[in-house]
Amino acid sequence: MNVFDSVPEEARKLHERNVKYAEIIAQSMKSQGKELERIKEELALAPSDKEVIYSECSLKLYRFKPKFRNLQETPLLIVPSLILRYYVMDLIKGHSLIEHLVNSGIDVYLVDWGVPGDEHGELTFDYYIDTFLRRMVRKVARHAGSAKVNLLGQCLGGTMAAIFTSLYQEKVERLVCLTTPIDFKDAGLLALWTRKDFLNVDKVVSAFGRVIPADFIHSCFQFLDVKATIERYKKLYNNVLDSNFLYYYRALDTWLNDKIPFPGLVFKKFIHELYQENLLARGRFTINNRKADLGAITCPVQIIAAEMDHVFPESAASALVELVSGPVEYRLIPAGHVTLITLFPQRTETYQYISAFLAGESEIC
Amino acid sequence: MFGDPFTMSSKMIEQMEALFIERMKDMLGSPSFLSSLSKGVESGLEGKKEFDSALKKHMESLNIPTRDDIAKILIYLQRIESKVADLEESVEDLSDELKTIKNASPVKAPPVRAQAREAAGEGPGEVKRGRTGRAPAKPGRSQGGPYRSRDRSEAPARYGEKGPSSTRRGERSGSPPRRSEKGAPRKPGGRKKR
Repeated sequence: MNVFDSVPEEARKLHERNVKYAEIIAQSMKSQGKELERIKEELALAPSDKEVIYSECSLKLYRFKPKFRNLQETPLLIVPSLILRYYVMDLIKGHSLIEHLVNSGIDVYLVDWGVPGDEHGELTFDYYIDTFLRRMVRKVARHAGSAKVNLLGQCLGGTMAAIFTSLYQEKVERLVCLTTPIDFKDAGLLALWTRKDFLNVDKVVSAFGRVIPADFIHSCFQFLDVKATIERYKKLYNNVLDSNFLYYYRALDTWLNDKIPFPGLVFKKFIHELYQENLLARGRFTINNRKADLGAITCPVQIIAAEMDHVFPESAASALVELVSGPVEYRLIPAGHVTLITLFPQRTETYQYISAFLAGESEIC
Repeated sequence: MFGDPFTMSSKMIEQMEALFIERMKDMLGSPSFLSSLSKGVESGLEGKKEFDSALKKHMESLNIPTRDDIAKILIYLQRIESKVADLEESVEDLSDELKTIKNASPVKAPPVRAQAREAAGEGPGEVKRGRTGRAPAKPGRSQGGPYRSRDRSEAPARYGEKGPSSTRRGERSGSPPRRSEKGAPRKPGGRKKR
């Protein structure tokens, strides 16, 4: 007779749960480098078919394989954040914004910023906007044979897309800003932590040099919402034996662990001029000595904000409504910064708003 | 009196958790905590800088390339890559312009040099030929670029200048411009529904 046969069923389940939980946490902690790549493959993350149509430096410009012959006339270029990898928008099959857009007959392109290395030492925020982003927009327009493109920016990518549109309005037909901070005046805890009294950005850049390590940037994120961080682990513990839940949890956790460093000079301008001086909302932000005036944006703009955004409060995103000159559609989703595009059923609402806006079915178009 | 010990302990944990969250929130928003944290971070960064500098000196004394040396090469390569991309854009632009010009006047697109001559006040029809000037090409053959256009002969050839050097024997000079990437430049504007 096995000794464990005498152990009560509940105690055995508890043991099983504890072991599985410890296993998942340990795996999460060591998921870096090659191990991370292995997990990404195992979980089949970023499943949508795509091809690289252009690459430069660490950047890649992807085109997602269309499913239909008749595509929308204007192609869409997605600009992800510089802080984390793009595939949160193409997480797993059936849970992917990109999959939804491709299925809606949109010609989807995406800029993958890649992993910045020492070669980014001289690249500034201005270079990212005026050269990288401008070049990507140009490549997409030429590839699709269209004079203009639609831009969709997520998080900091949205800020970059808005800045780009203000400078090159003639190249953009529609702009979608997904959880995009514009007014950094009251941008929550991050704005407080990056205040001049608490963060000397020059010292940080001078100590780290060309790229700011991912761990330095990301160490603060788990403290932005302590309650949510604790809840996340509690939820994992309670559902660790549910294989469906575990799959989604691991997919999101892998994405969260796939941190990337931040180019030093981009970090400097981003923190100094956006967070500390709030120059963009004040209309004094410049790119290569040209004023990035958000009032110059005349194309239709869709702003999607998250009601429970712990990274930027809603007010940081909604500020754009008043700043642009063109028609604006503002949507507030009862979700968090990331769950807005990953959690069911909230994500369905987000996806539908975006595809309807891009198809010109919105009231303002 | 005490109730179920499991319920009690879970309630205790909940209360402790709520208290912990409250304290953490207060601490993370407190200027005094942030100020001391900032000092700690700054001194850590200073230490890192000192260490990096000492390591660099040591490696230099051993004639081993430092990270800075490798970074210099990478930055140099990045600059070259950027310049190539800029040039590629310029070529695309020129190619577009040429196509526009050709579409605008289907009979004859004036070559760049002919335009310059015109601007200088010389007659558009005047043909000057150098010693190595070539006979006018048959119409409708060359399309490669402004200096390989079918009106190549109309431009005054300089002394010692050879013919269209990029046209190899057996190769039609009218072959379409090489595409720099997949999917190639199409005519801007007016994309048809696919």
